[in-house]
Amino acid sequence: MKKKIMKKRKALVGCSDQQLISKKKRKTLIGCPAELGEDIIFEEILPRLPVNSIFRFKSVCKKWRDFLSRDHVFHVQHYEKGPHRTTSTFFSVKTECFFSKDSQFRWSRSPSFIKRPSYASLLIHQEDMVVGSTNGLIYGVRPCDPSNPNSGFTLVHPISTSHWGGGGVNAGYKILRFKVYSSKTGAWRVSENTLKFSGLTFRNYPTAVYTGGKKVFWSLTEHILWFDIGKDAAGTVSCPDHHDNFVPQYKDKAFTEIGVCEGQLSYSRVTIQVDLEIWLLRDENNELEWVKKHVVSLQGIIEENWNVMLRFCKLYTRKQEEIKKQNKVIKRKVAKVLAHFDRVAKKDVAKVLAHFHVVKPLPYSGGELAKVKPQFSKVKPNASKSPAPATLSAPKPHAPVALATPKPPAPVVTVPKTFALVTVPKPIAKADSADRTNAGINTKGKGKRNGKGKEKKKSTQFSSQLTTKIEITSAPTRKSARSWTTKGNGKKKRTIIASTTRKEAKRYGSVDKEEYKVGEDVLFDDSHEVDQTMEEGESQADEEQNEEQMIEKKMRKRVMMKAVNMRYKVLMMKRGQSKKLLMRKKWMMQKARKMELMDMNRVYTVMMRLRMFMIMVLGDINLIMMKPPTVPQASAVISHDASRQNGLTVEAHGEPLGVTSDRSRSSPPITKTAKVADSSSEQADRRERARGERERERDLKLLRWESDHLWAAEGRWSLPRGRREKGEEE
Amino acid sequence: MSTKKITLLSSDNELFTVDEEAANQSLTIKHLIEDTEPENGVPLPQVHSKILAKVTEYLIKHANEPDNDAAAKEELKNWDDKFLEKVNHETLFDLILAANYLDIKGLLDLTCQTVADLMNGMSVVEVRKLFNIVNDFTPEDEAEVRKRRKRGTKTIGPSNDQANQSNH
Repeated sequence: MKKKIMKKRKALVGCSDQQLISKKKRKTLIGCPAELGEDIIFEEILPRLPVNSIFRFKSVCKKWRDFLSRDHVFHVQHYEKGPHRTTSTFFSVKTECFFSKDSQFRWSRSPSFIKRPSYASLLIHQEDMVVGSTNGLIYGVRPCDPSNPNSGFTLVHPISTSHWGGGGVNAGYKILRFKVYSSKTGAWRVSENTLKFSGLTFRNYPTAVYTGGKKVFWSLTEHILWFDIGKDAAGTVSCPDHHDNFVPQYKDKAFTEIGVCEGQLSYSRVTIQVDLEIWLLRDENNELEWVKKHVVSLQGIIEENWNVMLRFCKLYTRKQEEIKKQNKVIKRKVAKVLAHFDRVAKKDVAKVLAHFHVVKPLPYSGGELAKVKPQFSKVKPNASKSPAPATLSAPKPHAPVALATPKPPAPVVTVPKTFALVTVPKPIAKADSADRTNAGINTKGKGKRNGKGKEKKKSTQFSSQLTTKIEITSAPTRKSARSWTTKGNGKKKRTIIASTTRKEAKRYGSVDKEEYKVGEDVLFDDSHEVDQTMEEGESQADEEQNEEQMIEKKMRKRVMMKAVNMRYKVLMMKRGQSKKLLMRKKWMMQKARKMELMDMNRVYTVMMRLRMFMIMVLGDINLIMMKPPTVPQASAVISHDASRQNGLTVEAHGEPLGVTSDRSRSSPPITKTAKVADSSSEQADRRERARGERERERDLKLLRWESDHLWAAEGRWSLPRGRREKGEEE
Repeated sequence: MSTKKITLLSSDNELFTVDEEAANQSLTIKHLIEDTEPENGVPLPQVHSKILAKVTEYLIKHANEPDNDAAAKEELKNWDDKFLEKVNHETLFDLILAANYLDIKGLLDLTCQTVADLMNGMSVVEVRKLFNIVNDFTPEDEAEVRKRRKRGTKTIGPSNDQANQSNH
């Protein structure tokens, strides 16, 4: 009898003899029969467990471990049956594993189940590429068909091959292919159709969306790229009239999002008027058409949901605080920000936040825009494309690139234009000022540019690609952070231009030129005593000056300070006075720098929280993309930025380099002085540096740690680490 | 509409009568009726009367599933919860087996979800006991798994450190 039972159990559970517990022993246990078959356990019960439990139960026995880590059918089942039906899952290319997010906003890693494809040809391979999914089925760079779990899954990712035409680097175009992985065949195949393109710029982290109907969309900087799995076709659609009322510097990743709404592609963005626009891409008879769905004022959203936001910020802060219990500094900082929220009129805060584009649109997936009445506008979708604007500042709109059609011949661009384009849009002012200050070296730069320009004539497309590359530099985080930090004393009013060129600002006149008092009463009241003392000789900030000028001014100030410092030191040394004064000066400098960083960090914290807030407001958004903290491309530009501050000329990173070096060339006077100051002060300050090192290190550690943490919690919004380090090291 | 009664015969020869509509939820019973048209009830030799009683209770309750009525759905859900509230593990597992055998999707989902919820709150040791599984890991294995798991949950988000671990 006993034998019989044993036999039966063995057949059912499929365990080895040794694994079976005798009947006698079993009685002493909880008293459960082991009669559930392996198939039931594995197919019906385990897939219903949340991810966390699955990790735990890997250590139940070897069989379970193997099953839970390797069986790919299981994972599809898991996402079908499991509790995560609507939560996000991400696939990381680099680590090749899936992350899913449970209800408590924690991330856990689920086992990878895809054979390692060759990543050499991956379009985006520098970093972890995180890709979203619906119902656990991956899309994005590798999307799949979630319609039927038994049909397996399909992954798609684009590969690009470069074809360089004659006449210089920029005359080339790229061919885009799509690699499709099917779980049925278990192999990658390359789609036969290719997409020939030029002028398309990829975001660093293109968002991808699967809308059903076999189509996968990626959002590029100015286009939407689509691939039809069933028809094996691909194409692009340009984003709705982006050249018209689009904030150019946000054209990249930051202020547009794509998502799925009503089975169609939704495209949300922030316009220059600080409205949140939501468009739907209608796909009828293979004709893609943009339809505007909502226009909502961001400020309105913030104001009308004030309590929600406040509550959320507090909630979030508490959570943060719990984690950082020991860290009093951050605690204080957070408390300060919150106190400001309480004190300041919500209208003002909302205005500031909206104007600084701190609030980002999120992938719109059809949820209600809470409490905010959507306006249905009559604006016609992107039916006609306006010709390229004559102004140099406006980026050239791209005509949609049809499948495998060669690009239309690009208009010839004269040299100065190229230059302007290169610095489009905001650096224009800077170029002007550079002209004023030092025409000689600038013309030198132009001359070089001239030589190249002839080669580059053929492709404006590419140069506009370059511009967009530059746009990456102007990540909103840093932008707004700077504008915060440079605000100086609270008495003076500052104009907030919605961070565009002067030309743009003029065009949209009243909206952008709204004066707003950014005093000590808004958000941060950290008094800038040190800054102020150092500001002595500085002229008052021009009300009309734009971001770039501010930055340059600041840089100049810094350089000047260094020079002053130097002179002072030399003087002191000569007199043989004690080093006390010197130390004092040094300490003040350090403190100022630290304050700057703190401010940036604080702004960042607020922004992060607001993004979370937007998630709440927009409702059923189930996809949040994540982004690694360091972005190679961005950091390249950033390091350029930083080194410009340090007075070093920049080395080109990657292809679009003409541009970067051009920019650095345009600020030569600073470069010179800074170099001198740098080298000599380095020698003089060695001792002081050693002393301050410990403190600085601790501070940096703190900042880094916080930013890492924040990044992990939220994803996109992170201050580029490279910049921070550079800033500290100078 | 005339409701045809169907008799079910358990392994210990007890009879249960249900409407045809209710019985049809079980695909196995449906096919048995279609194929053999039994006179003295459908024989279900693998299901004990104790379990079959529960199953029929479920079948009768779920015979007319409401489509649009939210309140009715809510009520049914509550009933489902109560239905498995006082059931011990043994009966639960028997119910799963019966649902699997009789091919009743609703009941299988319900019971399996219950087990999954149960497991969710359990430790690994308890789960081993639940399914009568003997730990066949060597201490070294265990240590490694623990270590890996610890790291996996500790690191939030994808980080480069994990690259080596996930590639097997």
